[in-house]
Amino acid sequence: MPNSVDVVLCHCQEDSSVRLDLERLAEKLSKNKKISRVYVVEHLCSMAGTKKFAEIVQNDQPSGLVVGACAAETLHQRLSPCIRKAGLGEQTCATVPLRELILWSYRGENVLQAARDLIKMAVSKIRNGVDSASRTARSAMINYLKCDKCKRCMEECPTGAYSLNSEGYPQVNQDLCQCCGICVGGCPIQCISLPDLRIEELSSEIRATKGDGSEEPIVMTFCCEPLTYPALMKEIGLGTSLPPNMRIIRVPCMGAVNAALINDALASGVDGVLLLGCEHGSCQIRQGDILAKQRLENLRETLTRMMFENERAQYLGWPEEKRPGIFVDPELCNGCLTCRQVCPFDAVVPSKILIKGKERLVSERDPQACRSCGICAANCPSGACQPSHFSDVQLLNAMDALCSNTVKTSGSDTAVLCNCSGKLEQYLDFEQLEESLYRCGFNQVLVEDRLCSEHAWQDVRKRLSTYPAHGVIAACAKDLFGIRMQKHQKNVGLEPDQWSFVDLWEKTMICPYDRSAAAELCFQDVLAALAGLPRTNGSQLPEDGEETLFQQQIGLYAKTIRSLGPNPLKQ
Amino acid sequence: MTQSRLNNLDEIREEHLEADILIIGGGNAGCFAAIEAKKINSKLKVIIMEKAHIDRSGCLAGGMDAINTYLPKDKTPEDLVRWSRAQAGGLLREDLALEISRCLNEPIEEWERWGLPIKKNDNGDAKYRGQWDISIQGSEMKPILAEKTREMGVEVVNRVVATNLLFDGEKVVGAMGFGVRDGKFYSIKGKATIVATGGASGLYKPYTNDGNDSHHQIWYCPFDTGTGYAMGIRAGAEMTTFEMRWAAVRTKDFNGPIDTISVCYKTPMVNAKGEKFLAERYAEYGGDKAPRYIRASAPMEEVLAGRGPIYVDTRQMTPEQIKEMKTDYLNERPSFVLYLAANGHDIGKEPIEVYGSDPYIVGGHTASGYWLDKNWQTTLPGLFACGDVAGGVPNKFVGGCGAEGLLSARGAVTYIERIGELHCDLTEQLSAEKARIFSPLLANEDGVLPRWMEEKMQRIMDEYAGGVHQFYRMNEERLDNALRHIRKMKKQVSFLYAKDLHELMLAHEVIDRLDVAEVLIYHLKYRKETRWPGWQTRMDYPEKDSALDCFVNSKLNRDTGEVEVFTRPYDQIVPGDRYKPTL
Amino acid sequence: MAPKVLLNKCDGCKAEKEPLCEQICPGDLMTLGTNGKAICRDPRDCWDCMSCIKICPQGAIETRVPYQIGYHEAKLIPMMGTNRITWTCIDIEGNVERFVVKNHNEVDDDNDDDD
Repeated sequence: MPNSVDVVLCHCQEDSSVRLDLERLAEKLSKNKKISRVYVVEHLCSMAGTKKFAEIVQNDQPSGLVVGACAAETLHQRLSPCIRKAGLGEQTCATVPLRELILWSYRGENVLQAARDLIKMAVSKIRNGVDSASRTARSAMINYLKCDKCKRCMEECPTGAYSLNSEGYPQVNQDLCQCCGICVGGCPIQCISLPDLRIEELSSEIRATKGDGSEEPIVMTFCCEPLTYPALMKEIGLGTSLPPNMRIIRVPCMGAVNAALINDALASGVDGVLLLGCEHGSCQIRQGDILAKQRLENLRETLTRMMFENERAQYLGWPEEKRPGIFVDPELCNGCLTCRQVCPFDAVVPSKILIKGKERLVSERDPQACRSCGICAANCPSGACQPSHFSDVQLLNAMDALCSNTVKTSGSDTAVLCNCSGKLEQYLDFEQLEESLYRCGFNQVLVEDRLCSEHAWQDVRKRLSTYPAHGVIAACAKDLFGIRMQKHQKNVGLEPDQWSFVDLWEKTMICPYDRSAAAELCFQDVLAALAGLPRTNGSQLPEDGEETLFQQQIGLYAKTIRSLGPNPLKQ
Repeated sequence: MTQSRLNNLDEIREEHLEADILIIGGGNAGCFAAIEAKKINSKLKVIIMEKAHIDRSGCLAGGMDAINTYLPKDKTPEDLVRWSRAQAGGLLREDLALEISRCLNEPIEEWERWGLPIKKNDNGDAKYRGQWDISIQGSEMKPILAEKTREMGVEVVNRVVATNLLFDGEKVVGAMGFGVRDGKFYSIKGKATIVATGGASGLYKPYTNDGNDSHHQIWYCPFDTGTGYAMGIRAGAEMTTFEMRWAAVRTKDFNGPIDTISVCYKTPMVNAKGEKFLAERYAEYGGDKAPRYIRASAPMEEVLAGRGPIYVDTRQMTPEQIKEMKTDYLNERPSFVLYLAANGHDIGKEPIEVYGSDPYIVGGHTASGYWLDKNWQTTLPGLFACGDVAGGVPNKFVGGCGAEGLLSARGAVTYIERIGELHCDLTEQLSAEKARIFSPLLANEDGVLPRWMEEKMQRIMDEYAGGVHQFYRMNEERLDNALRHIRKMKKQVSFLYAKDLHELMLAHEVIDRLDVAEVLIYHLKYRKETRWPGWQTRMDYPEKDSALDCFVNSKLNRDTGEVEVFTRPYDQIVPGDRYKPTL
Repeated sequence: MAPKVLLNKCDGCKAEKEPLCEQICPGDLMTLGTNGKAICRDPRDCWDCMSCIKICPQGAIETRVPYQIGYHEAKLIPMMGTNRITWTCIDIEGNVERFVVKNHNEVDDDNDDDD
């Protein structure tokens, strides 16, 4: 059991001084007996910050680590080499996205208490972890001391990864296991785990929450990796606030949520348990949602018999974001249906249409099934299949731009570069970059501090001399912040659809090039982006004041739970 | 699916296993024996032969709310023996009891490390419920123990019913039985064998059984059917003190434990007139702390005297105490809480009625069982015993039975180091036992159902051998009657027929119970005195006889088929008055 | 007392040869019926240890008190967590009582240290 857990908080500049007093948080946490040491580090993602982090890990040799910062996934990747180097398993470190969950989406009164609650949940999870040695497998693992050969895992595994060994116990084929956790969620004995999904850990994480100290109901929300967790982060990026005591637990799939976890949550006084998964049948993992709903229905029936409000446990289907899709030009399609043979998702639908009075066989896409992977496009002999945003023309333009260091600009093309509180200029020669961009035809090049903040965009609006037709944003953590910037852009009257995004931060700070090389690399990236690679994927942004679907649904659920009053099991 | 009737014996498949140590019965004692054997020498092959599934077998299937007994920090093993001796009416094997007391806490401390929650007081020490018992939250204690057993590399053969021991001359070299699921004939050879099958319930008719759905509404685990005793009896092992039956006052109709209420929450037992009769009429025995047999018989005497019903008065308990008490029940016999709910019984307003249980033979509570040497070896070389089947030491309960597991394993490991490899021809024994086991599946369908015989036996024992309906009373003539009937039934076991493997198990359970009942009657007849009123009430010999201040033992003479009864002297080691709990 | 299988919930452990209740029952009483659902072959022989109810992944088994010793109809429903059981007891008058009981020691208890 990891008995010495360090907490490292990132002193991110934005807003933190206003919303969350990190020093006080650190002081509070350092009084917790379960935490050995607390550090506040500036810019964990920077070279200096990462170095400091490595020193902490190296010197303390903690058995567990909790990082409170932003952009959990990106940051975790950045920090994991330090953890591995110190001989620790990757699962001994948990990253809490304090910026997203507290600064951006927490609108309650008790900021400090809420942040502390999140950190404590992560500490509990880490403390209940096992040593890293047993987590090297890349597939589901069965505790044979507990397994009683009921074979439910075998019945439910969507990839058929299970077979029986000579003693009648289930065994996992590592090559077939996709680590979806459906077996973990279904196991009646709770004896299956994934390398980073252990029921004991999640259970202690769930039970550790005490909320933010307000009367607001505590809602334990399970989000799936492929769909709802990123979707939720996007929502947060858009500025959606969460119910103050909504707590997020990441799982690979709703099918990985074992009923014991829901029971644990309810028994520990959590007011509501929300399974935020995909809409019916669209589970990428296959059947995860269906199984999760079946299991939940069973549990809800039990809750009803227990005369316990079954509304407290709910499944909420999240509509899948519309993918850009594959465009099939009916003029070019010769109906050979090669695409149908190569499509891994069975998304090709042959259809007969009238073209110039003649009926012809062409291929179409089932929008539900198509994942926009582009395999059909790569195999299409006639060039009729084209992925949106990645069409042959766009790709060629980008390559042209990269080769010739020029781009066909429209005369009003704009680049907005983020300097991240002045940090970036330590690595990047902005002057050189600006010069190159102007030279190849950009109309305006603006350098801003902290583009993720709203006031930066208001500044952009003021400084824009002409209304740009197209533009490129160069900042960090595209998946997370891209959407946030779209929102800001929209607020200042720009059309996000016409803008592309470049991971400037990752290209400079995270990859330690020298200054001029970094500028050159960024220049090329910006050119390529403007020429068509890769575009922001044009999400539907809500109008101001308009509630998103998420807000509506979560709001409705939170209202239901609020109306039920506190969980009667709360002690 | 359950196998149905047989056409001939050749249809039976066979499974032959070999171990260094075979343990029959994977309950509390058996698991601790297995773990201890592996701890002493991890290379030993240890097999547990288990009738049910090891995760939930034995008396602990439903859990426990307390560990009784557990040695407090300020007490010595001698103190415990003194108390236990007085509770048992002055009769116990002091040598064995001392050994157990010395390692009493060992298994429980281990159990806690493996995950069993033990309630703590403010100092972080185990919270004592009574004098020698601590409170736990043990609803899943058996799965925790089972997991550890598997982790230690013990091989567990679930769903195999043991039926008889295997012999190489005089030496026990394993056991035979059948798979209740796979229908196979099993033989498991062991250089040493430890029997840990538990006590015997279902010898007597429970008063709850009136042709309804409550046949097993009894206190002791109904699946512990005395098989371990019976296998020893049939093989001529020496048995001790069967006449010291265990009966206790339990919650009426449900037959649930009441120590949870009376010990833990100090609630008094009162009669219908509201009198605290233990304090008033049994002060000389210690009142509320009187020996257990007095606490079993006194309430029934009150009923007989027309002062029933008898209650445990819960009306003084606070709502918090009631909630905590129900939680304790949920950890031990959860359905008692359901029973209260099904009777709309608010125990804060109405007291709980209690009544005597049917009598059991259970060596964890009384001294009934195998006669052992100092290494926990029975009189059959190579056969060791622990837990409820082991005799001589009453008031072992969960803690003592666990400790006995350790001690019997130590004895067995030392024994096998001495005897070396087994070379014996078992063919004849195997074929004879196979025929005996499966005969109910071959027998004429116009025969006797196991249940009929079980119910008949239970009625005979109840009426003639001092059952609860007779207020535990008996005399020589009634006992003779009982013996006559039991012997007749024993002759009729060839008429038992079973429709499937489950009934085959029931058939062997009743066969085993008959053997235990017969020996029990012999013991009851021999003790022509009343040493433990309630447990053993001889109306024709109502007083104690100092000539019988000794162990009554028995042994089947395999040549004559007669049970021979004899005595063994008492050996006092711990000084003091044997009838007083303290010096 | 008898275990009662709720037929709408029992899935026969997905038509396993031996459903979990059958695997665990100390009395060899639970078995798979011809309808593919679990059944107690002899309700009078049950000792109501509730092992089958605790292990059932579907929450499909209830213990019923025979009318001979209790009135119609009380319920006791366990909800199994990883280290605790939540019991709900409903008596014949409809009164509800709930109990959350720890049944395994935990690496880390839930106590707050920094308040």
